[in-house]
Amino acid sequence: MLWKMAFRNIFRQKRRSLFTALSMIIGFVMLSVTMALSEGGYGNIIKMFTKDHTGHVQIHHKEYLERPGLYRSLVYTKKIEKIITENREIKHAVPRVFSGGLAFIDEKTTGARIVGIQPAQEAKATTILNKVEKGEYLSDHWNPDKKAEVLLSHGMASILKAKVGSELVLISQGADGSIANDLFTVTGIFAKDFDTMDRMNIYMHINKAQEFLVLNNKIHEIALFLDDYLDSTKVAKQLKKNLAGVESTLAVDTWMDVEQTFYRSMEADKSGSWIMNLIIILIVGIGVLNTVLMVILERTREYGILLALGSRPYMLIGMIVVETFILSIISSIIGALLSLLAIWPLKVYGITYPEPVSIGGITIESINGAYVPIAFWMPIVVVISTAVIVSLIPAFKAAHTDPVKAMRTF
Amino acid sequence: MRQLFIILFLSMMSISLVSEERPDIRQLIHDMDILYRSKTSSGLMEMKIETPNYKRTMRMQMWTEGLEKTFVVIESPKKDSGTASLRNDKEMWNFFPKSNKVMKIPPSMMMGSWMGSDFTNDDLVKQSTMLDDYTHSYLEPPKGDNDHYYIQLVPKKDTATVWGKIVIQLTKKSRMPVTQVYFNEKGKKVRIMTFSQIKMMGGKLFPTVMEIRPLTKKNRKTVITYISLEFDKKLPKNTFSLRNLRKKR
Repeated sequence: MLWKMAFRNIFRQKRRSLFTALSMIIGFVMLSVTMALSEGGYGNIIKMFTKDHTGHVQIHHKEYLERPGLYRSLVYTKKIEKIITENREIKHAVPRVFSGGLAFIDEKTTGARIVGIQPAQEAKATTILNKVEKGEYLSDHWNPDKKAEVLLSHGMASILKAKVGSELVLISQGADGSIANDLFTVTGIFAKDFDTMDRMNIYMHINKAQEFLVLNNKIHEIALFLDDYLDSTKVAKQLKKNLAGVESTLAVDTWMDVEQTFYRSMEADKSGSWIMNLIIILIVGIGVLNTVLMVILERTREYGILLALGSRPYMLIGMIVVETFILSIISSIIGALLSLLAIWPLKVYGITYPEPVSIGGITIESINGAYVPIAFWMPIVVVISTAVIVSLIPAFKAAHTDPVKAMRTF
Repeated sequence: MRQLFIILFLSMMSISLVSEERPDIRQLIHDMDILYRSKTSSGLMEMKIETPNYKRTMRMQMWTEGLEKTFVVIESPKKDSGTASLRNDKEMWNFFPKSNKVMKIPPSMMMGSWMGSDFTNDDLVKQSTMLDDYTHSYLEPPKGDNDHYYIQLVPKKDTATVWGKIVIQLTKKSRMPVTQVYFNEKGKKVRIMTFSQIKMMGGKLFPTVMEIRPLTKKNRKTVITYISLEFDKKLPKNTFSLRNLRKKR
């Protein structure tokens, strides 16, 4: 009976219901789009960031992260490899070697970060291949008899005035205490845009790096790339458990631990944008409140008649609340459908910043929306709850008015 | 009467002990500076480096002329053979044959490690001389040690060094160094150099083994053993030239 009356009421005054619904729908879409942009935007930044080079989970010697050093290394054994490949969530696993050194080209010299990578694997897992602007990417095969190839970051190349084909001398410390020194050929140079994170990097084949630094088969890092960055903590926990029995000297960390500065600045930024979200929630809430309140107050006369005819006050309250509830659900469904449409161009094209913004070393040129769950459940909760709560007040008022007085109002 | 005589004798003894002739300190220090160098020297030595991370042994040839010129070439291991260091007056260079690179060592790196050992570049090439760059004074020897002199060296104001002071222990008899203790600017012991195996080599008596032990790092030491050393022989004219440094060996 209650539901039946509520339904009838909605469809009795189609225009009134339409306007109420419209205000809720607009509020819904507005909130949904904002959420999709901020939450989805961060998701995108994280994806870009982790795909740049960090990966989602990293394995190191347990003391490496705290204080990186040549000797804080690990051996990428078959056992470790097996544990990694057995984990279904891990898409790529790339080994890396790091060290510092001095780079020379003719008279120019600068300090450099030497990065040894497995070229083919690295290209599959990260965006490194797209960064090469001039020359070529490292070849996957390393020939010990030939002068080894190196890839320079843009900053490095400009300090050293390097060109593709330049001869580069690297001097560093070998793990056996010797002075590592060798000649290299510059095979490729990065584009300027990709330079924030790896400004001082010199890339070479991992086997060459191991030979150069006399590391034998040791490496410093295994970076793991997952399908979904949200699984990072879970996968890290699993690996930690599985590796504990094999190697006690290893540490498994998520990108949040590895790139703490980035993560923290992201979190700070995110809490800042939540203030923005709260304001929008408030605006949407007030909008819904306004319409619902007006609509109910408008019908005071009607309620007076109902009361005069012998309706119980609680029946009246129930009817008003159910009516708003049904209306808000319908609005939410329509709103969700419209949001799906509205977010799509934001996802595909995004909003381009007038000036690229840098967060934790990653340059962001545009912010893109994404279909994240929160962009849907949050508006649903906000719209329905505000509508229902708001309708309670006039409902109580209407139920307790004197029918005679109520009938006199227009 | 007899008692008085004994007392007199003892007091004379003690007077003679206190007023014992100490050798000229500058002469002693100068002898230390040129202990392994004389006017010119050329020789072969072995350097053993031990650290928690690696152990390695290098064999190298060394030529010196006066205090200003030093030239060292690594002979083995094969990987490093030909790597050389040259110091001429105030400048120092390293040469890496594999990359055919001559690298000038800036003054700020003089206290840096030489080829991964516990010897600094300065130790090896004697950029600073104990005689001219430090002020010296005798220290009272610890009680019961009557066989050694203790000399304290404090760097002069404009000496580029990391040491706050150096205490040298020498034997009175042969005037050979036994230990050199290095203190940092806060007065903390940071490393100790021990001399041993005094032998006749090239017509001169000197400790043929030098061991450096940094006290700030655990389980590290570097030992230099002289295999052969000749003094005051005429060296080829271009021994200490950059061209000679660059020569492929």
